[in-house]
Amino acid sequence: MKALPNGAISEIFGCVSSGKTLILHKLLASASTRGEFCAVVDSRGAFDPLSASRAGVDLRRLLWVRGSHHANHWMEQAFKAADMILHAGGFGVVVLDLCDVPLRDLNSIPLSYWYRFRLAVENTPTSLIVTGDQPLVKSCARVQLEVKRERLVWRGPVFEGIDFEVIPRKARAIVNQENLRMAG
Amino acid sequence: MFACVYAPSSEQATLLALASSFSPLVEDTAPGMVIFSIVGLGRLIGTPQEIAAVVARRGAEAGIQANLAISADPDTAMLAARHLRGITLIPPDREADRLGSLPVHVLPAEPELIETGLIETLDRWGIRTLAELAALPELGFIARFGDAGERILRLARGETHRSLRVMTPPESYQRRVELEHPQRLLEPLLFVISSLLNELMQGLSFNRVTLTLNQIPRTLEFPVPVRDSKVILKQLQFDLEAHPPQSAILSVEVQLNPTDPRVLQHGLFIPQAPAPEKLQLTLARLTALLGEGNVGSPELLDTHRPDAFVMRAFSAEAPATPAQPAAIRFAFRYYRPPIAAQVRVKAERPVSVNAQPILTATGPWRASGEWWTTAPWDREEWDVELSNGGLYRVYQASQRWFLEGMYD
Repeated sequence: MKALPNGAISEIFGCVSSGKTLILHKLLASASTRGEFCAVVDSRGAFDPLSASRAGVDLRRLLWVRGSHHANHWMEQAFKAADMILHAGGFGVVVLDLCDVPLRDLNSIPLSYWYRFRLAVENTPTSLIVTGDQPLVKSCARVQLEVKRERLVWRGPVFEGIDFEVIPRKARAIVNQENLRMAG
Repeated sequence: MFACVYAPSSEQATLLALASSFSPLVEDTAPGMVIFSIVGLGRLIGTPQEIAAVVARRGAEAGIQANLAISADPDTAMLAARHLRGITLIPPDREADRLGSLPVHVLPAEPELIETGLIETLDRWGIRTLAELAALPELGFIARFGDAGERILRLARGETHRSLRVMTPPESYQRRVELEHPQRLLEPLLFVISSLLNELMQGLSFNRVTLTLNQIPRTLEFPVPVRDSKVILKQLQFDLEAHPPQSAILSVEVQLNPTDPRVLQHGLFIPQAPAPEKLQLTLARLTALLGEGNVGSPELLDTHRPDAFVMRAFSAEAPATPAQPAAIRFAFRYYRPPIAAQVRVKAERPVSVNAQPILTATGPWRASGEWWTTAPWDREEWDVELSNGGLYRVYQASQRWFLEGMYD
């Protein structure tokens, strides 16, 4: 799978069980294969290392920073953590996972954070990927991809996977459309 | 001039202390033996006889029963102290005469001498004493026995004239300061620690720091050598903020463990990696922000227990391992901890979760394990598609239902 643009913010969003996490794991695996270090800022602590490993992510080269929705100011903590990682530099892909975050909390994100992140990654080899249930980054994102589920695939009683479609909502998607339609 | 003290029954530390009280140039020659320089003691004490008397007196005061030899050649002094009783003074150019009566087998049993069988050869030649050995023609002897022959010939003649292998005391990277007033605030305390670190580091690399406040130590390990005192200070600050001392500080001690500096050759075509020193600070900041156990690299455990992993320290020097991706077509997202759910069951199949009707349900998938440990697990899983479009995994354990996560 080809990577999203470096030095910019890309956004992947979609509804529940649409396949966006699978795309994310594939992108992390692709960066791992290139020998890059990756970071995941997981606001809800939902990241599954087993799924990621099966998708090909090298877990030893992955920095996982997990928040807890039980903590006070957990959204603020997630954004601070992402800011620290971006300013430390040296990561090929940094993921800010905002899936399953309540709308009330999403609306409280100051817009200035996105401008700050855009400046932090500009002219660097780092690609910042933001995932959520809906578009959040607005004008600061260079690429916006919406993931829509087509169907759930079953083989008898066994769940096999998700077929999905990726729709570029902003700019021309750098990701190979055909690859994304392969549903993993 | 050199003095050799030979006391096989004495402690080596006592001998070294005795020698160090006369000269900074001390050789820790062998167990029970030290050699030290007495050059310059003439002005302080007097003739070699007087120096020998003073050394003997101080040695007796320290409880040392020893032989003492003084010579211009350290090896001559060593041989004399080892094999001649009491005090032996050997004037310059009289070494061969004084050692001449000693038998050949007193020569040090060096591996070279044993390998070449030199001593046995001398014995066959009828050479019994060092005087007889010293009288042999030099060129012919060296031509026959090489370097080992030259060395024992010079030993017998008292002409080695080697330099002392001066003992250097181990460098201490430890500083302690007693505060005049009890310190309760972090900032002034960091100022004190910073001055101690700056004094100790001086461009050297360290991989461990131990900070002792009021006799209570705390140790920080660094995965890569650190040369910048600010990096260590910042990490200590985060640690002190996370684990503040229980009382006002009266004494501060900093101890550093030196290590070799980090040497790394970067490649032009190797993808970039986080700079180690900067990364350490970032990880410490993240840990301070999110708490321990929430920052690192996950490592999967060799078990069938769901969601089994441990968090390891992240390192930018982790070698790349070849990925072996499986052809999976979904990812999973966990709810941690699992959410207790109200599941309605009809004909042994779940029909709703938290009042949301289930469109599709597959299962049950039964799993259990680790019954031989104190933490066994046993569960019955279902994959359920709810009316909101999400595909979830629910499970029943101990007669209770939980929502474990979502396929995505």
